[in-house]
Amino acid sequence: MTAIDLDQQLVELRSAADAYAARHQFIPDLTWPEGVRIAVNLTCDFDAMLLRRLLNEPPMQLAKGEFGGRVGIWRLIELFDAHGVKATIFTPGRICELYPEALRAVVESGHEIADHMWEHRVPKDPGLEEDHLAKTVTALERITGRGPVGTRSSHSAALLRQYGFICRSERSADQRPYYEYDEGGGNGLANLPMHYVIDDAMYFNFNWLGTDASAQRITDPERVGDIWWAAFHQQYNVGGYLNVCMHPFQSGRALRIAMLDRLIGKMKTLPGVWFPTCEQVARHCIDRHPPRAGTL
Amino acid sequence: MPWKKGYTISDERSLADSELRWPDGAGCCVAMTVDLSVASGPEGVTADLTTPEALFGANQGLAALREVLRRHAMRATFAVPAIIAHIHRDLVRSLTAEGHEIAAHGFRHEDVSGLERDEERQRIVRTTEILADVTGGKPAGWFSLPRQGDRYAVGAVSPNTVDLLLEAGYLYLGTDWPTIFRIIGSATSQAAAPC
Repeated sequence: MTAIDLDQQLVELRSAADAYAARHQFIPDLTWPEGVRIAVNLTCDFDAMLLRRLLNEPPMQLAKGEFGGRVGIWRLIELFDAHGVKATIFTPGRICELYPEALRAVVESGHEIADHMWEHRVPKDPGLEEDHLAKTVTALERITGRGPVGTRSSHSAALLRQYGFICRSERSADQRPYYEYDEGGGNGLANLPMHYVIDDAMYFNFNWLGTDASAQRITDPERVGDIWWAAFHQQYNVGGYLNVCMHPFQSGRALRIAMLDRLIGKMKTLPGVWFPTCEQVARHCIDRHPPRAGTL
Repeated sequence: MPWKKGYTISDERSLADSELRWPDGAGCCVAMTVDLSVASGPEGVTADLTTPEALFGANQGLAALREVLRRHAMRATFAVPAIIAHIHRDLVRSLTAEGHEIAAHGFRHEDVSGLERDEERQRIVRTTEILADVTGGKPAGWFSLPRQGDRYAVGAVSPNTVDLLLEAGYLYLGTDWPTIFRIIGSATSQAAAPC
């Protein structure tokens, strides 16, 4: 009796693992455009106070988030422009109403604006989920003049494809860009993986994701710069990919901007470092390493 | 601006770094804030006052700090709860005499986030009176610094705090974070910017 149950568990778990693996297509032979050894996506999650608000944090926590819209995003634009690099700003639709001037400056400088949900959450109800995505697409389009093609969210792949999205930047099943498909094997999206180790919030935030103040993590920017440089350099050596996730309310602080300035400057001293937008990376992959036919 | 209500109480954009100017061509401004509260929880200063640490802070600790400030000819801003000014009247007065700024730090550095508007107003008015009586002038700034036992290291305000501070004639609200932001009125009412 017990033995039969165990065998059944083996079958079920194996089948689940196989099905999950089949929904991912890695690109082991990934190559970049002529002369490029590594693609670095500088990405910002511009949620300002929205997530703090969603978690019912007190007003002064929201005030920290507001710093990202009032100051941080402007410093980051200035930093990227000074280095002549392109970034991707994952932007909740609601930010279009709160910080329109900053977003226009992002567009003006040629950076990409991508989706980051309406107010930093994906509703469980499918009708409401579509409402949030549609509202966000419309709001971003009004600022940029065209619909977003990338997202950092858990919106369903079918819905994203319906609205013209081609890529997502979330989670990290591989260190290089790869493709994801839905349960039916369709609705492909390129994933430009980001990892929390290369996320400023892991190092610079009090009370991250509901932790107590006593669990605060404030790291010396120099140390963060060292960790990120090591990650960059390892990927540089293997011809890979790096996605740096920054929050304007965290990385927009002066010392951290200075650290990023040194880090980007140091990356640029090596030959073959490409700083494209996420859309550019996705289009390159789709063109050079196509996904399964008819999925994207 | 109704779309900002419940989301933001500050300007959409600050001065750019390149636009910032200090008097006499100074390249940087260093402001020192000294927290004279001994509160550890949301109720504000309580029996914390009768601890060895509180006694040290009011005597040798503060004296040593003042000596350093004096040696470097530096002035600081002391965030003082009304109850502390009431108990250590001469001490606080002597700080004013040395050129330091005395700013308000609540009636007893209590958590005001759940207070009724009228009660918070009364506390602000009484705090202002006590500090003005001790120092000889109304304080210009109001602080709400975090306490060591707080869940969030940011300091607590209520939805009415900014409005009530404007009404009471305050010029700035200081927080723990390096953002002494310009009060532009809360999201609930469009009060004029005082500075």
